[in-house]
Amino acid sequence: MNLGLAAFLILFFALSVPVAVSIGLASIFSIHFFSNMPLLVVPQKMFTGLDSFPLMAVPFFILAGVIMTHGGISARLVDFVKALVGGVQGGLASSCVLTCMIFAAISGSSVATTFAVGSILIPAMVRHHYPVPMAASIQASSAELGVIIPPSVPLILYAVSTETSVTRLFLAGLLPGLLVAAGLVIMVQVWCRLKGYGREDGDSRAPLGQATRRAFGALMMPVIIIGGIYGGVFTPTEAAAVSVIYALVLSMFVYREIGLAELPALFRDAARSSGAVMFIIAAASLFSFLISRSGLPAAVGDWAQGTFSSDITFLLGINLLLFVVGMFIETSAAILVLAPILTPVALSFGIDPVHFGIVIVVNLALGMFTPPLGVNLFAAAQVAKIPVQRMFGSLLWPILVVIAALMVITYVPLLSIGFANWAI
Amino acid sequence: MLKAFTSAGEAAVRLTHNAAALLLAIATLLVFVQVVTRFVLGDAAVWSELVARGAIIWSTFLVAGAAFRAGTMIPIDFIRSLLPAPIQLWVVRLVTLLTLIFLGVLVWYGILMAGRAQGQRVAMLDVSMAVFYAAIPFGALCAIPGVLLRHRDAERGSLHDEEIHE
Repeated sequence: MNLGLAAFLILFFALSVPVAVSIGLASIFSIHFFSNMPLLVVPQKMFTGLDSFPLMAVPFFILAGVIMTHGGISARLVDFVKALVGGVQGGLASSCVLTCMIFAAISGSSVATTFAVGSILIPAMVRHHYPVPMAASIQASSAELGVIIPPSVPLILYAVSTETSVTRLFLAGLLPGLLVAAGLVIMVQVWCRLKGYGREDGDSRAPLGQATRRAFGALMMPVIIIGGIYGGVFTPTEAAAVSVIYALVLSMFVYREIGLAELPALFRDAARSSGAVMFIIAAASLFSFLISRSGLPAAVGDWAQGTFSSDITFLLGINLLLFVVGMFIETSAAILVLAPILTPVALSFGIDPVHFGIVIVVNLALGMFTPPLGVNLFAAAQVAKIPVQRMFGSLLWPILVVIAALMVITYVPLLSIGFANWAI
Repeated sequence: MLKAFTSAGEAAVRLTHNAAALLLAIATLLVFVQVVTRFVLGDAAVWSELVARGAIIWSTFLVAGAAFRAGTMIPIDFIRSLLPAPIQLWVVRLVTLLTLIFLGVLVWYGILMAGRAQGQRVAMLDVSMAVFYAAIPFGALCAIPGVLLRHRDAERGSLHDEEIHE
């Protein structure tokens, strides 16, 4: 049955059947042809997969992201970061990384981060004589912070599919996210100094005080969301709903960038984006039911125990696997299909499931800007108005930097679980 | 005749899309109100969480048609894009067929499942579980026009993908 399931899944993915339909139909065919289960389990498992309170954070964070992208919040954050660090050579490129980092702390998606920050900073970098592909590459790689730094939609998906605490995963993502951000800032600084880019990045900056005042409402957002979750004031799902309302109030009444007439379009847009992800989740919960029933995780575990001598080589193998998977497969599908299989195996190697989740998400986030397929690449290319292929040449360094950070995150579990254990 | 079907299909997609957006708004508001009441009254109403969960489930299945229609159902179309155009069209036809089979299973077994769940009550709310389960067959049924309209565009060679969403 497992072979049939895998064969159908790979066939449907290759045929470009939508991910949710691929996963659902591969499960249906396997049930029908290779088992004596009634197909009634299909709607039953799809329903129970969605009927979860932690999962509701996904549509809410996507909605908040859509509102913030249109609500003038990103523009104010950019001005603030530029005023703060933009004065040095390459300050604009560094601002891109750091704005993405702050925006990541209010948005759970990297594509939303690419559009929100990139639509301002890519044109700005191009005006300051950065090559267009380089500007787009810096943006595409910085935006991956969107899913590492909490809140994060992929971390919620991992939590739900492995029954791990969302709050602990959110805590654990913070330091790895800062590490990746630091690595990228150092990279762009060295890059700019070697190539002589961004000499006049200090021009046309707002004074720090003024920029801080204008951005204050936006800057309070990560404080409320992350502070609220960490302080135990509310659950991640409640924080997501609060951030939607806060973003609405901010962009409608304080910044006045969204009018009442534009609201329905934003909600429609968010409903469609989150519906596509939630549909994958529904199908994947049917899939993971079949997987766990078939005993595949145990079989993979036995095989892994025999093949890898220690957790060190096992994690290396996992990273290689995910790196290849992340190049081709969409992140939420990869997590929902692989996490239920791999996490029990990781547990048998004595790896903390929270640490393992961070490794998976950081690695798949890398896949968001590795060629040939990466959502951030397409989003950044769309913003920069260049073909995706033109970015490939300037992606090598960002990819190497994130791989280096990934190795640290993989082999220093303390970086992720240390903070989570200390905080709760 | 065909024109009437097309505009009826487009209307169905639009209607379910709007309903899904409204349900998303309602769910957000309910959870927000839950947080506020917990602060003000020190005790949260449980019903609001349950209704919000139902709203999100209904929203997910109702919006499927709009997502299929707009091509935002997230396919992995790397391999297909490497194929010559005439073969691509046949692949698209096969994908549409497979999608319709999937939706058909959801409609048929979704109705059976909702029927079975009729006797179960949602805890704390005085409604049948069937009301929640019905989202699956109803949404899948309403998604069929979205899939067909998308396919019509593909046959005409006028596919235009909207911007990428995660």
